[in-house]
Amino acid sequence: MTESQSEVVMEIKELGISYITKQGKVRAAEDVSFKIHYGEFVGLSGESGCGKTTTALAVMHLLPKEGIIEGGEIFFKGRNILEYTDDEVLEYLWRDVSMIFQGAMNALNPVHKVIDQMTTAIRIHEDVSEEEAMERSLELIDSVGIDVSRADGYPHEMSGGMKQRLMIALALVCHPALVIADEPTTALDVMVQAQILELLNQLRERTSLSLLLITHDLSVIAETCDNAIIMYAGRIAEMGTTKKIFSEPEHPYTMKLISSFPSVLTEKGIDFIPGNPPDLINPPSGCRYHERCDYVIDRCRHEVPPLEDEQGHRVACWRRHDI
Amino acid sequence: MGLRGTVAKRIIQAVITVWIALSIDFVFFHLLPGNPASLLATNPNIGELVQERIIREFGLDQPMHIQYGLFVIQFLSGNLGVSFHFMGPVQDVIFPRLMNTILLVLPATIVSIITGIWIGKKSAWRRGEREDVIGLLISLVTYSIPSFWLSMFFIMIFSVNFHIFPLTPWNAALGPQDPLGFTINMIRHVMLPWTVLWIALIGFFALIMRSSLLDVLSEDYMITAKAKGRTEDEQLNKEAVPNAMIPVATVVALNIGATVSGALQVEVVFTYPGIGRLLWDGILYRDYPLLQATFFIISVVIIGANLIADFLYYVLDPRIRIGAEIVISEGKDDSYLRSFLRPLRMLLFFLILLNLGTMLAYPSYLGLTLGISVLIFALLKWKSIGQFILVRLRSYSLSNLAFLWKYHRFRLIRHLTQLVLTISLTVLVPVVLLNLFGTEWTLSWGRAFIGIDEFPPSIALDGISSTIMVILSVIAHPYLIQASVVLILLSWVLGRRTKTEGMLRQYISTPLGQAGTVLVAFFVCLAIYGDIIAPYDPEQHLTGLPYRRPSPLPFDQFLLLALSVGVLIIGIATYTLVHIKKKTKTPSVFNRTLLGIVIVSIGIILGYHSIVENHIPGMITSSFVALVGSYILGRVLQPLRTHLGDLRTSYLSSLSACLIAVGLVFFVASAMLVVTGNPTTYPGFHILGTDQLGRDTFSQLVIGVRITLVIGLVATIITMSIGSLTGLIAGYYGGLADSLLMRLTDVFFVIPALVIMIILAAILPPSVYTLIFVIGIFSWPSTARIVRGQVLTIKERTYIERVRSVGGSDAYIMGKHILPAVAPLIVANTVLVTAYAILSEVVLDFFGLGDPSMISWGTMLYQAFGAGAMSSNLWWLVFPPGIAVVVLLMGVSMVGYAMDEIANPRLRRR
Repeated sequence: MTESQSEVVMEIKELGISYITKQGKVRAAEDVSFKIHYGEFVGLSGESGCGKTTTALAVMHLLPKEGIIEGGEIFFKGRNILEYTDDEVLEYLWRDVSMIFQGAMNALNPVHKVIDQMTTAIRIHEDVSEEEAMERSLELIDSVGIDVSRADGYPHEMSGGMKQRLMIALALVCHPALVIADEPTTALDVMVQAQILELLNQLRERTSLSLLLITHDLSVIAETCDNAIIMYAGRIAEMGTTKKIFSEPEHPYTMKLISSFPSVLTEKGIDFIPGNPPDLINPPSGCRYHERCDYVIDRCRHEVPPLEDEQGHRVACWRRHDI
Repeated sequence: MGLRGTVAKRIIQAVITVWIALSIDFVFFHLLPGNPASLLATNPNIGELVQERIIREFGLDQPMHIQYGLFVIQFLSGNLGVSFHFMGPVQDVIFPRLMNTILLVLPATIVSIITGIWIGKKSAWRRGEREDVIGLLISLVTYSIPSFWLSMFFIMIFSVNFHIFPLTPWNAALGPQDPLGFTINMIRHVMLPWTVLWIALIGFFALIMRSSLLDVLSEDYMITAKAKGRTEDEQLNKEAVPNAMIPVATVVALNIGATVSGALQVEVVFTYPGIGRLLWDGILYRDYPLLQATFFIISVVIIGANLIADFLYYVLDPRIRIGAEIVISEGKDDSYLRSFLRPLRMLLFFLILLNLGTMLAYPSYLGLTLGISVLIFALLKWKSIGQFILVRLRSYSLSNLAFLWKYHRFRLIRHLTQLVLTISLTVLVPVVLLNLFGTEWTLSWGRAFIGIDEFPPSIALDGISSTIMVILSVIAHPYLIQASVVLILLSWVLGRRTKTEGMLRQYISTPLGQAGTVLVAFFVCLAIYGDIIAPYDPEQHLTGLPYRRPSPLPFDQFLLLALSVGVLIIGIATYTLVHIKKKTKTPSVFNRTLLGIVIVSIGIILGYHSIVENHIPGMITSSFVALVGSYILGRVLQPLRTHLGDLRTSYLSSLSACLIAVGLVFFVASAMLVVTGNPTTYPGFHILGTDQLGRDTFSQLVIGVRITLVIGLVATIITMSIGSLTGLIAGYYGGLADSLLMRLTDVFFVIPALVIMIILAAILPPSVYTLIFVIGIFSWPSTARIVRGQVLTIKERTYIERVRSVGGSDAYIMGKHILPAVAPLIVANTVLVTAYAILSEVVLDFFGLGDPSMISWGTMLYQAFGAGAMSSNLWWLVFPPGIAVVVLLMGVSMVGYAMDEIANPRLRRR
């Protein structure tokens, strides 16, 4: 990675997030660091509860009250957004980074017309006339493949796929540099999923948009993303180009994750990972995956493996060359 | 269905509701002893010509169905009968009054909707923070104040003592007639009623807004709004509130009836010439045509207002305005019809109709028809009934009992108590229905059940039947049934200890729950220890001179009380100070230890007084209280040792906590000393003075809590049984049953329950039973709705599908899977319904419809009002009962809301 700093849209450095619960402190994310460049699509994946969504919420300043950022920095175009004042946050949200929510069915306000929700989003951030905001919104609605005549309707009049596409359009109204998509295809049927993925691919070709795609569906990442990040129990296990990760995974967890995906075509058996993800209140010492790992050695149990970079392919495993 | 279809549907529904109201009106007044014609004949106010005209117009000499037809026609064409009291057509009296009422209600309601919604908004947005606590407190207080009492209170303060507002009732014909002077005069008179009504309604609207907004705030689109970069105000006002307003609009529309019943009370106290005062006059003079017409007019006006509100609702909600129609679980009608036409169902339907008919027309033959129906049913279904009984009996086999003893002790207790309860009830029901030992036996059973009579009654019967009666009475003894119900509930709770304990802990950790529990416990103790605490016999006349002011405390007692209160205040002040200054607080274990010590000491103090006065229920309760205290102590002893070191660092806070505890115990001890000791040492001592008959107000206050609690609880039991059963059935089966039930609840929502209660209680003989019956029968629709809503969502869960695929019957699914899931909600709702029942009871008492032989807070206020306590400034007759009502209701609703926060799945935090 030899690019200059200016090409980086967002850089997350050693981010640590905990949730304060009655049972104790849950370390939802620890030492998370990655960069997103202009025009780059990055996939973020892992099991449920591994810290994917927590990371995204931290970027959006949307962490619930119980969630506290314990350390690290998040740079957007060189400025640390964690040091923003409240007013700056309000300006930054949606104009710089916007988000496509999980289950868009409920993410649109049922009492406002679709078009109004989009124009207000524009007018919150930009000093434009109602007419101009309207034109821009309609253009976007058209570009996500929805008939403009439907824009003057309420969310409940749309199908699930349409709502999701409208949500994408809504995320794009302020021309943000980065969009975070949190499980954009979950709970949609396969055909609609394909449409949404197609739409995302088109966006990549047409614009300089960067996307952080959060999903537990690896095939979605394989379909759309340039780079992939695999998280496990709040830490990054492996990151690199999508091609590299899927063809030559080096972290045992990634290997298992990929082999546990069913395939329609080949007759390969489905693999699974024995045991459960670790308790994040009292995380295991050393490598967090060691209790479930087939290749565990004594060192894994005591020392946390660092995320080692080799030609852009980073892996946090003591035995990456032995396996 | 488009907008026009919906409008048509609503109008048809409104017409049906009017018709039902009319029918209720007709039926009620034919429940009167004697027939309407004879009532007319005995009335000296009415001339013979008029009598003949009424008899002709309403066909009072014709058979019942023709009377009904004529009644409907006459009422719909605007001929509402002739008033006994005003001696003229009722319609001439009613309409000017109606305008006055609208003038009173409309501005007050609008202002209080605005205020209430504002408070609810603040409260929900800052849930759990200081704004929320203040908002909830305001809502609960205003919700708990009976509006008639608030009116009395305001009149005494602003009119009698400060002379700010005139004391005379408003009369349009008097005073200056020029526009400006007229308006000023009107406002001067109406300002106070407006204010009372405004305050009385705030809580209701604020609570609805709060819960509705809490729902909306957990929706996904609120996160979108936040992510969009909207400011907090915009998130609240532009995104959340429009959504929250939709349910608020419905509930407000449905509860116009509730606002009207508030207005009725206000009018009565202010002698404001409106509909409510008319109702009062009607009851006072037993002017039945007037009551009948008033009820009809109130219903029609409210139904009309509801219709208008309904259309407002369409303006608010695009989901209904455009395209989609709200579907009230449309079942497949033809399949229902087919299943209905099955011979067995037809027979069942016929039998139910038969019994209902007998109950109305020939109540004395009810036992016979019921017996025949049961026999027919048993003959047809003997196989399944036999199997049912056999299976139940087999579960009492020794091996099964031994098994239960080994593994599920609590289930064993429940199992055995259920057997006892079943036997008891199977004896009781036939005895009551067949009227074996006369109505006296049944009535005495009922009185014993609510704890105000001996059982079995001494009925003159000859040898053998007397023995049978005694034996049957023992088997079906009310105490036995009470004990088994309590045991079953207890074993049910104890059998699920971990779950209950978790909920209990959550409940007791909320400030609302803590405060509510303390208040309710205080009043329950008052009811139990009433005999010890009350210094005089509350019914004894001339314990002192009439209208005596409260006696000043003797100096030594004053010193004692002042000292303990001083210690308490110092303790609380330092504790708050430490709290504010953010110094180290005492470990909670230490606070719990103090709590345990305080409870044990209170138990000992009360126990001592019970032993001195030889009061057995008091002794039992005291030992129970002491037991609870020592249980708490036992639980904290272990952790206390480990935390003992922390006391040194937080000595200031610990010391003040100790002060509070000492002050509390000291206060209880000295208060008991004051109230129990004085009449003997200081004859003629009355803490709260005496009333017009020289009875001791304080003793009445103490004894009055019993009847209030008993009526509240028993009416609640009736309400909850009917409400949860219908809700369960309607929610589970859906279809026709559901539609019918929902229409029925609509009707009950629309027609103000309080007005029905008042009228029915005026018709039936005044007694505790009437109150219980009336309150119990008319309060259940809201419960049914809540339960139904919850059942509908649970029914769709996958695990219910699973049970059904395993082969569980409907009864099994409902009893074992759905009921436990809705149980917490039902419990929380029970508490809220209790508050409502108590409020209704107080209001009915105030309308003079209570049991004249029983002392209750409402009756006390009724008598004070009648004795002119307001204008003579007899504050000790007005303030104490009212404050007691408000505090009790607040305690109950606090408990209810604290439970609701835990039990209501809609309110759970995300």
